Amino acid sequence: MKLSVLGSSSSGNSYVLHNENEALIIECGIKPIEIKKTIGFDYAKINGIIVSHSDQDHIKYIDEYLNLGLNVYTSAGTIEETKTKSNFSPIVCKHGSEFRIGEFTVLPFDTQHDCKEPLGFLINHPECGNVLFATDTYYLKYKFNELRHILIECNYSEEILQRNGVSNEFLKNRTINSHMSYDTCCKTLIANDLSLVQNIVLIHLSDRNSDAKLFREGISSLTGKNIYIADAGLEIELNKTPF
Amino acid sequence: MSNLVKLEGINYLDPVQFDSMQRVCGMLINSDLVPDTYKAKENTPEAKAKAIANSMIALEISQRIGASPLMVMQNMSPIYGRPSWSAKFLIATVNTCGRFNPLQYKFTTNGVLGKIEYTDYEWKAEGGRNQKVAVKKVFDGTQIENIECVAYTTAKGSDDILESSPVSLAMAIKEGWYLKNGSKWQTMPKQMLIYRTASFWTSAYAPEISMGMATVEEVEDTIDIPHEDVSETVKKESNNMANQENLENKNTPTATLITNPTKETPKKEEKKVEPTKESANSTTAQTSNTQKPNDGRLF
Repeated sequence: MKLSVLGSSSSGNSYVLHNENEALIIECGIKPIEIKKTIGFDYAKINGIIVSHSDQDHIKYIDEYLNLGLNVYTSAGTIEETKTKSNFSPIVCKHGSEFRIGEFTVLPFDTQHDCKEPLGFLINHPECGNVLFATDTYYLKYKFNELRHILIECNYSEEILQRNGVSNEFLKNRTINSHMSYDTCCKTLIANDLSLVQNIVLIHLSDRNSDAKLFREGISSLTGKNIYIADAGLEIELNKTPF
Repeated sequence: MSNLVKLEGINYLDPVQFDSMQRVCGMLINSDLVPDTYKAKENTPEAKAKAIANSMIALEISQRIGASPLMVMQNMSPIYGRPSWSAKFLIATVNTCGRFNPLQYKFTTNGVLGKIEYTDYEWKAEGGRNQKVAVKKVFDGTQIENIECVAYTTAKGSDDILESSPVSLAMAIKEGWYLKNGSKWQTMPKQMLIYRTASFWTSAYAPEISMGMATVEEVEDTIDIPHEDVSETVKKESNNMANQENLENKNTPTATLITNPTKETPKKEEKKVEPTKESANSTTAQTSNTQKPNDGRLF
């Protein structure tokens, strides 16, 4: 199983889990044509798309995906706030109730963001085991079992946020109240059993208030795992065993 | 000057004028030269309607003050939802309106600022809720010169000098302009003194030029949007709630399609082999209950 990152910032988010036969897209923040290039121009491989919440950088191209006849799964709150114009409807999923998309099993869980019914996803596939996906949340309520790979937001550092002296207090409050800080990310990681975890991908880093190198080094020394920064174009193998 | 600009204002109730203005605005919103506020952010009817509405207001103001629509669009910015002029536009308008000679500025230095007491407002937790509390603070300005500026000019054909109220750095500190986050008063005090005195001068002698609108700099300095510092609340919530529960699968059918008579379900390729259940209002699509990898346990 391969993870391809097409975008992981406020200008557009999209991640693809794919192998030779299947693809699961996470978020609709990047144009479908870019996905097509990533998966070898084979739309038939796409099992479905899961969307975490209704911010533009996550749902911008939802209508284009729906118009292609692809199944988009997201919460009722996100659908309500998105107001899709496509003739096709997204499919509602909800916290705590798992569903299957091809060989992928997806368990949505609620996250903490300033929009209606945001979700994170615990994704399972026989090839890669459990993959945690959590973005745009200032903390996670839950602990997760048997994780193999983690895609978690590490948006900002409190020190950098203070140092930068945010001129707009609303923006500062919004960052704190809707995104995960480096410290919270560290606490979340060590609160979970990481014994089976192979890869940790830090996603959705703020352009202004983060330091990718420091974050990677800090979390690497904390967890001893492979740490990646989700830059557009990143591709890594996510398999159940590291061999 | 075109016939368009010669009009005294748009009569919104005249269908012909209204239609013409809409077409003019439709053209302007597609120009690369107008600022983003006046452009359609998305290619949707709603976004276009909003852009046309903004352009129509700019066009109406441009006609009333006899300026080019592009000039108004480039110099009127909504700050916190209030339309505000750029200070340089205001100065240019006074200088070219024909009634006054160009604005001049007189700087004087009144020694160093010294220690200045000012009132700041901080969010503090009192009685279980965060409140904005006035706090007296002292600004150490012993290394900063207290510059004062006055804008002045004369009306054409008259020798009477028309002076603005004096604005000094001490006043900027006491008013809270100087110490706001990102304040330009700290980095370019003389420029800000010019802008502020020009704005005061216009408010006093020719308010009809600014039409009651403040300058961008004034709005940024004086409008204090109420906010609550959420850092502590978020930290507390995170410490109490984070990673406390084990995520459980509720084992209930999910991924339901809300049926909407106006919309269709995407027809998926043959890969979707899971059976679907139907009910009166919703359709269960692809639940995993029939095929769980780990006997219903969470993965």
